Amino acid sequence: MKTNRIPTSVAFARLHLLALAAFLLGGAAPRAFADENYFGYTYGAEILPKGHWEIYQWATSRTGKAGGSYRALDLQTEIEYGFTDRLQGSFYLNAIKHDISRVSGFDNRDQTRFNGLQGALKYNLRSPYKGGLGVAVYLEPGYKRYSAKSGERVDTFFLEPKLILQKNFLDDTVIWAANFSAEFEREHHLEEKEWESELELQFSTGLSYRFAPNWFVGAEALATSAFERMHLDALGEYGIFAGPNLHYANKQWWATLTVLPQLTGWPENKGRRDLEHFEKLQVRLKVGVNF
Amino acid sequence: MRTKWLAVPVVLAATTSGYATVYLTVEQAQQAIFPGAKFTFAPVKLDAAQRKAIEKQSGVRVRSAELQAWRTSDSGWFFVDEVLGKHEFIAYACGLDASGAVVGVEILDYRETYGGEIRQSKWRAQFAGKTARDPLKLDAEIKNISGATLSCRHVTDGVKRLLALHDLVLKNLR
Repeated sequence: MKTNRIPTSVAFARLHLLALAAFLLGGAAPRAFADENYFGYTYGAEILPKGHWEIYQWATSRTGKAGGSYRALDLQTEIEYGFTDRLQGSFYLNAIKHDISRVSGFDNRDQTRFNGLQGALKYNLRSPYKGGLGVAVYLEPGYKRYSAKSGERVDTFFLEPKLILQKNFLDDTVIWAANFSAEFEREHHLEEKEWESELELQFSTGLSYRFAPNWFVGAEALATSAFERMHLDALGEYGIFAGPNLHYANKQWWATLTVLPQLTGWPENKGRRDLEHFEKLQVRLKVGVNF
Repeated sequence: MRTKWLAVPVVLAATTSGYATVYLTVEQAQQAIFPGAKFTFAPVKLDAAQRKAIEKQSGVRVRSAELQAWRTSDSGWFFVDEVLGKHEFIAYACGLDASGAVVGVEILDYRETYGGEIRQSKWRAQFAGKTARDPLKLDAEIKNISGATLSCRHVTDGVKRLLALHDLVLKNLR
């Protein structure tokens, strides 16, 4: 098992950290934001107002397999722009780190890589702040260069449509949101020189309560599944995660932290969990600042 | 790279407070809505039945039983109230004439990121002359401001609640 290191990729990942530091230190001047994320995994139906920019930094830690040591870190830097008061566009740059040692079925690996890019359009059909159900639709095409699970070199082209629902209660102090998404993937395994197709269906939902000015606390759940060859009768795996989330926002910036342990998965290989395709624990932090 | 740096923004968040933008003091708002008038502090305290009646008529939750209020020299009322903003409270003032019609609305303190457009005089002027008999709905009598929907709706609801307070509790006071 060889260990790979590429200095330029490490430098790229450091850029993500510098960007994050810039967000935090840049809070000295009054700034603004609207499409703040109350949840780590579940999108809300809000849209960035016309003419405004927003930058996010995402970091998702995925750790724990049935044995050995497995740590992965997904980094995304996202820039968002409000084209109109109903339509916003986003552009993402991704990096991924794997630190894998003695995990059955995985090559040992310690690498940090640039992991492609994606764009997204989000269109708000109905505001969640007018008393009814907030609704938005979302479309995200993208390209990734490495397998999120193993860190192997795999070119993946994907298209992800998503339906976003949001309902607020008690003067907008309780936020509920749910997402239904289908990710259509074409993967090119470079070593085997093979193409594969996969369909990932996801459902996520969250409920968050404003317990003090600026602060929300709640819970979030994620169910994700993959179907081979994009056939709904060819379920490859599924995993269900659920856990707490904490959201803070002030006039300058916001942050959301979500901790999702795997509750159950299939095919089971460790108790009721699937620790081959998924991890024991996912922790996601998002930080957003607007311009 | 280690995941422990994930904790840094959370720690910073815990030590950072929001910016407060105070646009008007209470005295400035009083003179803006009732120029030249004299004011007598007359705080309002509601019992449970009054709160329930106001909520029923206005359709808006009464979050506090106590309200800062002043009588004006010409039998009007001046209120300082708060509504929920997206992250913090929005403090606003509202004046009603002796008949219970809105004379004016002023934003005192606004700490939100977006939605500061509710301070625009054109938007606030929509409330002038409104009474408890007006439905006062956003996107109907009161136009919404895109990107400021939450603030527009909550301030509109707050004025609606004050109109119901006057109609049910204050208009018969001598």
